[in-house]
Amino acid sequence: MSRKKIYSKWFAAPALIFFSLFFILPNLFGLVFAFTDWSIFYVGFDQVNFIGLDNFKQLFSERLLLKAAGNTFYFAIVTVVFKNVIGLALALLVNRPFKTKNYLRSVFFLPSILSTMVVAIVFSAIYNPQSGILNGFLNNVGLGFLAQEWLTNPKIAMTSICAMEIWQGTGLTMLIYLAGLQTVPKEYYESADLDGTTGFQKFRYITVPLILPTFTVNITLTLINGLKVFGQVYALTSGGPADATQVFQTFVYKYFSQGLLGYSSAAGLVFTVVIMVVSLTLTSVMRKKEVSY
Amino acid sequence: MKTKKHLRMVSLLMTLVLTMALVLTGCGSKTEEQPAAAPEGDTEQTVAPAETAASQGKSDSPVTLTFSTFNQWYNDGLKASIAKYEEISGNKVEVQVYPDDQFTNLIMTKMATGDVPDIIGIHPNTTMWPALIDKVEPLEGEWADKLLPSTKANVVRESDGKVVSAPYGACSSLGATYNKKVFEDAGIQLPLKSYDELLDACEKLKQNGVTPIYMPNKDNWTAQIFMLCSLNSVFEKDSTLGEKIMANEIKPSQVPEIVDLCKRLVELKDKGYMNDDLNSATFDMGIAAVANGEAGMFLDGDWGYADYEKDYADQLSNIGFMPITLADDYIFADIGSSGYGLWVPTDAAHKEAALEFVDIFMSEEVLQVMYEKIPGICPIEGYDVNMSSWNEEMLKYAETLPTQDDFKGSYLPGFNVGNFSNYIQAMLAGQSVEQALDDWYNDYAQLNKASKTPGFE
Repeated sequence: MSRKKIYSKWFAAPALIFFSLFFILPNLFGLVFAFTDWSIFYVGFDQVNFIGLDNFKQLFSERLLLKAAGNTFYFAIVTVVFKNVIGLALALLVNRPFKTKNYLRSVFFLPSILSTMVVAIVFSAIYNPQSGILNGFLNNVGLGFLAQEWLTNPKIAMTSICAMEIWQGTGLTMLIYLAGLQTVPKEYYESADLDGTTGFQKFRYITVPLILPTFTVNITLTLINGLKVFGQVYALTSGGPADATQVFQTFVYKYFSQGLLGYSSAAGLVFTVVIMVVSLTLTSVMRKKEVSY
Repeated sequence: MKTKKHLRMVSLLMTLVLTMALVLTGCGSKTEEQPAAAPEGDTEQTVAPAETAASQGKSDSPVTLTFSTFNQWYNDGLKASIAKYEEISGNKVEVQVYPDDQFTNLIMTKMATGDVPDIIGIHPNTTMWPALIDKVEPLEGEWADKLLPSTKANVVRESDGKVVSAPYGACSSLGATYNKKVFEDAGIQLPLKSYDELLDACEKLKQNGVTPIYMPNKDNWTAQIFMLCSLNSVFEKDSTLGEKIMANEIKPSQVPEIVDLCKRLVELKDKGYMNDDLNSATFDMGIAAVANGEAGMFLDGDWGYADYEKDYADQLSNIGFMPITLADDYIFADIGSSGYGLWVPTDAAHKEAALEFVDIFMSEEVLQVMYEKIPGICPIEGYDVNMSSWNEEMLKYAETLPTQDDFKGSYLPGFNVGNFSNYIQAMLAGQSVEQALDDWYNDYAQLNKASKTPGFE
């Protein structure tokens, strides 16, 4: 005898209404306002004019957009590479059987549950050129020549922000890789041992192919997070010094704060399209490489 | 069948209940984005009893007025003045402060939706807020008739000539704070009336082992002060330049004198007359450096007196305030208009009480309380308020030098110049002067296009 479902599809209605009101509708409005001259100088809806592609023309002629795009991709690529390489290495380490593995798993994962703002405040203090512990440590061990203005030197400020994100975000990638590693059947490794394969060969021919879905998930997540960077930059440098660390989101926020609401909507729309294209392309490429035995 | 029908009714009912719960949660409490900084604790401040300033006296039915302003504006002076008003009127004031970089957007949105506080604390210059001026009440009182002319010009609504904002803060004065002993030891004579004299003074200070000019370039707003004190010289020589800029007939980078003055600022850095860590140096570090004699001078506004009074009261008598310039042959005493104002929205819930608040707040009795905490030059003629030694020093210079507002107030009245300081900061951080000036132009051109300024549409 089949049991009929007792939960109606209408139960999804509240969530759907909520989602529509607070996510879908605002995004649709943003899409429309991207083609208008809406600003705080004339806030009434009767004063908003349709201006076609003018916002986009202005956007693509702006020098700062290129800078912001460059910084965003730099941040995304650097953090993707390091978070995944270090995350995988840590996952391989804590996947081994040893006494403190659970403790180490917690310690490595802990930074990723902290608030970005809190971490940024801590790193602001660490990076302080006069009183920060980083320069203090370097000076005390005779490496004073390496001491830098970590957040105010335009040449290295962006890299300093990447370092903070790598420290904070690696724990989560480690966790996902760990989950993937634990789905690999042990029998494959036992067979490989019987065939006399080396550790590297096992990693290359067994581990990597079987955890490719995990690679896809991690790389996609870290790439999207990297492209969406905002809090880290805003809290540490606010896009400075001299726009040296402007990224896409701070660029949008800058114009939103100035009251150019239509223009910032246009910038947000461009940015959304870029993220969609990049992440969909990457996901489809990586999906093709996945294997299963 | 019956069970199916019954279940359908139950699920529909539960869906309705859940939806209502969500909707009511959203509409249930009208909480503000920031916690209200209620000044109840400050009403305990010992303020000298004085005769009531309001002809009406204490209100028979006290109201609670809402006052929205920037986080940084809610300082000791404002707290004390509000407490005095509450003592006089019997009303209460609920102060709602917002992050400085978000408040203007927030208040404009509130004005557009009608969700307005009773009083808004924002810059009093009417041309800065075209979206506000038609949605606020005209303000009247004895104080409005006694406003200094330079201040009154900025607070009047063009359409009807009425005063619409109450400038309660001191007239801002810009210049250089300096360590008197350090200057004396270096044998420097004041004032430094030209760029050559400034260079000479810097060299003497440097040879004495002192940082000539402390530049806290990490704090965005400080870098511009040198230019605010110097660019007037360019506009004085060409009386049409201001109009051309406001009509979008010329860009700043196309004016060689403006480019030269900016290059002089960078030259001061390149010659080693500024601190090496200027890009990571902060305002507080600058105050400390001058107070402790590690630096000769530091560009600041006269409001900085309160900072020294708080942290370096012992050294205050050794800290002076003087006009400064990068020009060859023009220096002025920078005494501008007030930068702090009160507005009453037409849609305010307690409009009459809010108008009375402004009238009482702008009385000599209440403003004396404010200026006791934050001394300055009052924008209302005849008011006997506390001035700092810096104000007195600057007024002394004003006896022999021209007295003006900075170039924005004097030659570009009502014009939105965008975030000027950003681009001066960029020059000191290594960007080319011409590129920074072009970026500045693009910034203010975009803002003026959005506000439909003629010439920019």
